[in-house]
Amino acid sequence: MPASIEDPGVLLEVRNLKKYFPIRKGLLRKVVGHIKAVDDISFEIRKGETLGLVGESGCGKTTAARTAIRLYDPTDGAVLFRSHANGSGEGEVYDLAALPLREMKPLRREIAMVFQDPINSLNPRMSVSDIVREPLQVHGMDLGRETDDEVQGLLSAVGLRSEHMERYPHEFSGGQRQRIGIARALALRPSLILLDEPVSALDVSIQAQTLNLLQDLQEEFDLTYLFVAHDLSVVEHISDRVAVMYVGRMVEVAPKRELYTNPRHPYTEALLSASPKPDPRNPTVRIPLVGQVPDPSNPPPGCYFHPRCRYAEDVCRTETPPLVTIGEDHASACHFADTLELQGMQ
Amino acid sequence: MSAAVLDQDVLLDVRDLQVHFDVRRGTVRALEGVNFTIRKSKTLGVIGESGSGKSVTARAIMQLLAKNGSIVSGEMLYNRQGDDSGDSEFIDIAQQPSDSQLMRDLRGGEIAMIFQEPMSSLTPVYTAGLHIGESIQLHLKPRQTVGDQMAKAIAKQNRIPREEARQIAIEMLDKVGIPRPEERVVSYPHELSGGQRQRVMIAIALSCGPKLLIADEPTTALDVTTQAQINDLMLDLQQEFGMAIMYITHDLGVIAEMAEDIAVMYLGRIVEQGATDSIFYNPQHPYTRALLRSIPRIGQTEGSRLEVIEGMVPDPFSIPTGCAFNNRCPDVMPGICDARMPELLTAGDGQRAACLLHDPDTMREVTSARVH
Ligand SMILES: Nc1ncnc2c1ncn2[C@@H]1O[C@H](COP(=O)(O)OP(=O)(O)OP(=O)(O)O)[C@@H](O)[C@H]1O
Ligand code: SF4
Ligand SMILES: [Mg+2]
Repeated sequence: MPASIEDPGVLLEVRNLKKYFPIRKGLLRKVVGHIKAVDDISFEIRKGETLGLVGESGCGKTTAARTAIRLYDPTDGAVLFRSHANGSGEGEVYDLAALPLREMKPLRREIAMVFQDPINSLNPRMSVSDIVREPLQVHGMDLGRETDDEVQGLLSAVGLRSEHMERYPHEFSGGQRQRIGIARALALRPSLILLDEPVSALDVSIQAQTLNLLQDLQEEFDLTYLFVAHDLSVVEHISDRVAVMYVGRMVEVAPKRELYTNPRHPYTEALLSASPKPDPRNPTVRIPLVGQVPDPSNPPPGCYFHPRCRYAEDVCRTETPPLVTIGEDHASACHFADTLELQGMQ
Repeated sequence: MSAAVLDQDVLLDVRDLQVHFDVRRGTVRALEGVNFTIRKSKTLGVIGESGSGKSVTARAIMQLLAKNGSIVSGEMLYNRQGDDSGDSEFIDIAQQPSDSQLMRDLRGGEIAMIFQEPMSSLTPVYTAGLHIGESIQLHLKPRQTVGDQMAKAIAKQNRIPREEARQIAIEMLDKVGIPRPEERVVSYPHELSGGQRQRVMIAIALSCGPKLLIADEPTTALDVTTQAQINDLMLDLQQEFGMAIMYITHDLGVIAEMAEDIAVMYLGRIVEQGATDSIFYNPQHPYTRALLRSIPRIGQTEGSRLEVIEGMVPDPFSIPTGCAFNNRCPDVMPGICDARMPELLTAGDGQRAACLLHDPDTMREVTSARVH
C-alpha cells in the first residue's frame, strides 16, 4: 500500500492535485479552455528518500513539483506536509494547499529549491556570499558575524573555497554556479529540496561531481529530495523510487529497480526502450512509439496514452485507468497492468 | 601529394587541423591539431565536453567559420566523386576559400549540415559554444511556410525550378516520416513539434543527395522518445542514401547507438579515435576511460558513487602545457606529461590514442630513469 501522511515516515503527501492554466483568447481575454498541466495526481515522499519524477517535456513534471511545494497555487487537491519546525518528534501536518500565504512563510524555510539553469537563477549583481546569505536575511535569521561563519560553512560543504565568497556568479563555471545554488538552498536547513533538472545543463564530468555532492549532502544534512529530470540514467542513479508522468497524469510509481526492470505501464516500457544505452554490444530493443504527445488542453478520451499504445483495446479509448496498486509499493495506471508482459531494462 | 596514398574507402581525412579565433583577450586556439578519418557511408561519432571544439571542427569542414576565425594549418582531404567517369580526386578543403565556387558547390550538394533543433528548449545546453558564431542560417524562418522554405532551399541546391522543388519537398517530407505531407507543406514552423521541425531540416539536408551529413547535436534539445525516432530515421536514411554521417554529441549513449567509429575530443584535440566497440570496451586514453566511468548506467550504479574526473575543463586561455589533460589525469606522469605533447599513436585494438603512456620513446625513458 502507498503510505500516507498518517505515517510519521512520510514527509509530504499529495492528494488528487490539479493545476490548470487558463487559455485566454480575444480582446476580452476570455477563458476559452484550460491546459491541464497537472491532472489529478497523488503521491507521497518519505523522509530521507529521493523520489525521481520523469517524463517528457511538457508532461507537467515541473508544474507538479512546484505545485506540490506551493510555488504555484493548486487548482484543486491537498498537499500535506509534515513540519518539524517546532522540533517536536513526529512534527505537525499542514495542508499547504489550504494555508493562507501568511502562514506559509515559516514553512517555506523547510522546503527549498534548486533550478536547472545555474546562470539564470542567481542574481548577477550579488556576490556569492550575499546570494547564500539572502534567504537567512529574508527570514530574519541574519546574525552578523555568526552568519558569516555559517555562509562560509555552507560554501565549503558544497566544495567552494573561501576566496570565492566575494566573487560574482559570472566568474564561475556552470558546475560551480550550480554549487552556489545548492549552498543557497541549504541555508535555511530545509528538510525537503525540490531539484528541477539540476544537472541537465552540465557537462558529463561535472554532472558526476554534482550528483555525488547531492548524495553526500543528503546524508550530511538529512535531506529528502524530489528530483525532476528527463534523463533516465541520472534519475535511476540518484533515486530510491521513481514516478513517471504522461500528459499531466502519473502513470506509474515504483522503487527504481522494480520500475526499470519490471515496468507495468506501456508508456514506461516505451520510454525505457528509447533511452540510449552507452553499450554498443547490448543496444536496447526499441519499442516504436508512433505519433506525438497529445496537446494537454485537448487530451484524448480514456487513457491519454491510448493513441500511441500498441496494447490499446476498446476500454482504453473510453475509460480513464486510475493509478492503482498492483504489487508491493508498485502502482500503475493501465487497464492491463496485471496481464501485460512488458520489456524492462536489464 | 600525400592525398594519393589515401584509400578510396575514405571520404574525408582531416590532418593536423588548427583553427584559431581572434578575440579581445588574445587568440583562442580552438583546434590544436585535429586528426580523424570519415569513411564512405559510415558514421563517425564525435564526442567531447563543451568547448572541446566539436562544432568548430564541423564548421571548418564546411568552410563556414565565424569571421574572427581562421584555419591556421592542416589539411582536410575530401574524396570527390568525378561527374561520370567514377574517378575521384582528393581536394583539400582547407585550401578553398569559403566563398569559392567549389565550396558553394560542396555545401549545396555533397556536404550538408543540421544543427540542434533551435526552437525546442528542453535544456539550454552547452551555451558556451552554441551562441558563438552561429552565423550560417540553416534554421527554419518563423514567418514562411515549411513548403516555401523547403522548395526554395531545394531549388537552389539542385538548380531546378521551384515547382519541381516543391514536389521533391513533399516526397522528402514523406521520407522523413511526416504524416500527410501535402497538408504539412503549408504549415508554419511553430505548428510543427520540435521533432517534426528536425525532420524537416533533415529532409532539406538530404534533398540534394549529400555524401556527407554533418549532424551537430541534432537531438540534444529533443525528448528521449523523439530523439530515438530521429536517430532511427537517420540510420534508415543512411541505409537508403548511403551517405556518411559525422554525428556530434556529448551523449555517450547516443554515440554508442549511432556510430561505427568514434573520435573523442578534449580541448581542441582528438585524444582517441577508433572503432566504437574498442572505444567502449577497450579505451586507451585516460580521458576516454574517465569519461566512461563517470556516467551513470542503468542497473549498475546501485548505491554507489560515480567516479569523477577531478577539476574542470580549463578555459581556453589557461590550457596546461604538454598534454592538455595533465592537470586532471589520474595517470599523469609528473615532469613528463606537462613537458611534452603526446601524438596520436596506435594503441589497444588498433585505435589511436594521444597519451604519452602509449609513446614507446617516452616510456623507455621513464623506465630507464627508474632503473638508474
Ligand atoms: N567565433 C568564435 N570566437 C572565439 N572563440 C570561439 C568562436 N567559436 C568557437 N570558439 C571557441 O572555440 C572552442 C571550441 O568551441 P566549440 O563551439 O567547437 O565547442 P563544442 O565542442 O562544439 O562545444 P559544445 O558542446 O558546447 O557545443 C571554445 O573555446 C569556444 O569558446
Ligand atoms: S599524456 Fe600523461 S597526462 Fe596526458 S593523458 Fe597520458 S598520462 Fe595523462
Ligand atoms: Mg557545439
